[in-house]
Amino acid sequence: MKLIAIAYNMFRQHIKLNLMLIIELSITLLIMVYAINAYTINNTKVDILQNAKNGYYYWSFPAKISDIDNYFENPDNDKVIKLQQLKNFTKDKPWIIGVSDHDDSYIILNKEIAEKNLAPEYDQVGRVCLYDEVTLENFHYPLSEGRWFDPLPKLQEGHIPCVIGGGLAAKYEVGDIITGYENRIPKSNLPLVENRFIVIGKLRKPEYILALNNTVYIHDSDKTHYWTPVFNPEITDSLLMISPISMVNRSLGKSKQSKIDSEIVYYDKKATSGQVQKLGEFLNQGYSLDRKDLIAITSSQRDETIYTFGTVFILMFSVSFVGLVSMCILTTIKSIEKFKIYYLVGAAKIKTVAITLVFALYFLVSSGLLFALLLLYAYNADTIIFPSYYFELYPNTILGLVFVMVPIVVCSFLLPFLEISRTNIINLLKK
Amino acid sequence: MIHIKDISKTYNSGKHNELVVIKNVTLQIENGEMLAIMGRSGAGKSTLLHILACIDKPDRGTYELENTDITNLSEYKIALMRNRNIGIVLQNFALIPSETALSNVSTPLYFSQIPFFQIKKKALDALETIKMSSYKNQRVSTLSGGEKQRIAIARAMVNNPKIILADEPTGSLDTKTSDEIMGIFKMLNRNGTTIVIVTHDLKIAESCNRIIRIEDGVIL
Repeated sequence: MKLIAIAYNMFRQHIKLNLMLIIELSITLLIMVYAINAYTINNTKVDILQNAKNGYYYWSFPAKISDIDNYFENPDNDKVIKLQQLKNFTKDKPWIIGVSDHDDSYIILNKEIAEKNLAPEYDQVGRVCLYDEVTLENFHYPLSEGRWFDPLPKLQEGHIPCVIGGGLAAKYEVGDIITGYENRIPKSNLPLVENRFIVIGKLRKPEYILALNNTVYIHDSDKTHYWTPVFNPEITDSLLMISPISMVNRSLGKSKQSKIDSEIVYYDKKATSGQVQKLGEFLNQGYSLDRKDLIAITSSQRDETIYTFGTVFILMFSVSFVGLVSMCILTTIKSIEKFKIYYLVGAAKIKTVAITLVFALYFLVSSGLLFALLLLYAYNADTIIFPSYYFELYPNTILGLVFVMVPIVVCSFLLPFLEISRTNIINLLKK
Repeated sequence: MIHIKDISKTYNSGKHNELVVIKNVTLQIENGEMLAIMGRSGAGKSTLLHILACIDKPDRGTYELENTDITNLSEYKIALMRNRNIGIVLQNFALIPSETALSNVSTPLYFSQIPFFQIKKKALDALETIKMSSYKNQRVSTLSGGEKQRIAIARAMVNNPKIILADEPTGSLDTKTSDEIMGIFKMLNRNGTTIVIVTHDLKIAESCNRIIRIEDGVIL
């Protein structure tokens, strides 16, 4: 208590400067959390694309953003026609493994809500992302436990294999059975369809999955932003499930293809370059990117994030590090005369060292608390540019924080300690 | 109370500039004494005071304070002994100029066994004893030399030490202020505190009960 009071007196002497340092360090840590998470997320995307089992093309329609207005106004869905043409094109080509088939649905986890056909709360609903077998085998998402769909497990005793994620995933273990009632539209009086899922794996956080039916067009260019995060407040509060499309029973059957969704065409890696080129030419009727392009675009997104936020972080960290450590060492040097007096009145050197440690702790604890508050605020704000999952503390993020804080803690503790150690008390008396 | 036997202190031992400052000094100081240590500059009186104050250690000999041999104690335990038993007053006051009189007087209490909430009261009592309580919130840097020395004495006595060691306490003060300071020391001595004053001023020394003279590190 007494040492805390003495250290506070030291801290109070330059209170404005010290508060600025605290604010700066906490903002630096917040930026670091964002940078690490953004890098991890983007890097995971690159890994998923790179580790795909087969060769593939990403394909979307229309080809140009300038066509999109006409496209919506046209009641005949060109996309369906084009998709049929694509399927015809691939039919007699054994080196083409398949065209993605995907959809999504909702299941209600509470039977009573489902039977009464009421709108469920977030914690009573699971969003089911449905993929065809080839897509499930081709792209492997990182898991925290359990297994992926490669090879695809068979339906056992009517249980549909599923990999789960999202806010409610923590409630379930691998092997658990989840009973859900599929009813796409609340209050629609559609028949209730029961599905029984078995959890075979859990997605590792931060969760990112390929959302082919959520293609987003970037309006300032012709490029398509093909990855869409499925994380939103709904998923954060509810359950995300991935299951094979062929196994899930649905009340409406397969939903109509969205006008602006995307497909992936898989081909054997052993296919000749001529064959792949021919496929590419066909897909060029729409918007297409091959595996290499996809990886390049995703990598550049990752690199852009790390350059932007990494640079800001390095600059701010340097200023924080130099500022904080300098403040600790300068305050110690400035307080040496005071420490000599403390020694004179009966304070052992270890106590003066303890005072400098408590002084440094004022910075570290205050910065830590402010950082926690900012992190909580950023997480709850959940804006489009800064979604909440960029501010979660994943194992990598915690490791990064430790890595950054260790030199600050060591230097702000060690340098004042060394300064005090080489102080000779007798000099004061000789004055 | 204090018993030092055959202590010696040498600086730069074994080097070409070796300097023996204390030679086989034996000294006993009893409770309630008011003792003056006199000697010329460089005679070794301040070094002897530093040893008595447990700030410096002798190279040889033994030093018993309150029946405890402190020559072999750790730095931590020596600091504790100093805090509990010794008050120190220096010629240069050794105060923290940027802090108030009250804050300076409180300093030893932060390292003592006194509970935190009693610190202020005890410091105010000490200031009251030397009639300086009206200066409690004044920064030390704004005080005169005599006032600073009073604050230094208040700090030395705040923890009720058994002994107060003063190194040239009136060295930088005028005669009138010196008399006032000596008056405070006498008052403290009458209340039972042992006072040891290092001085080269005969008038100051003569106001003590006992005078010892030191020359070339030897007590005459």
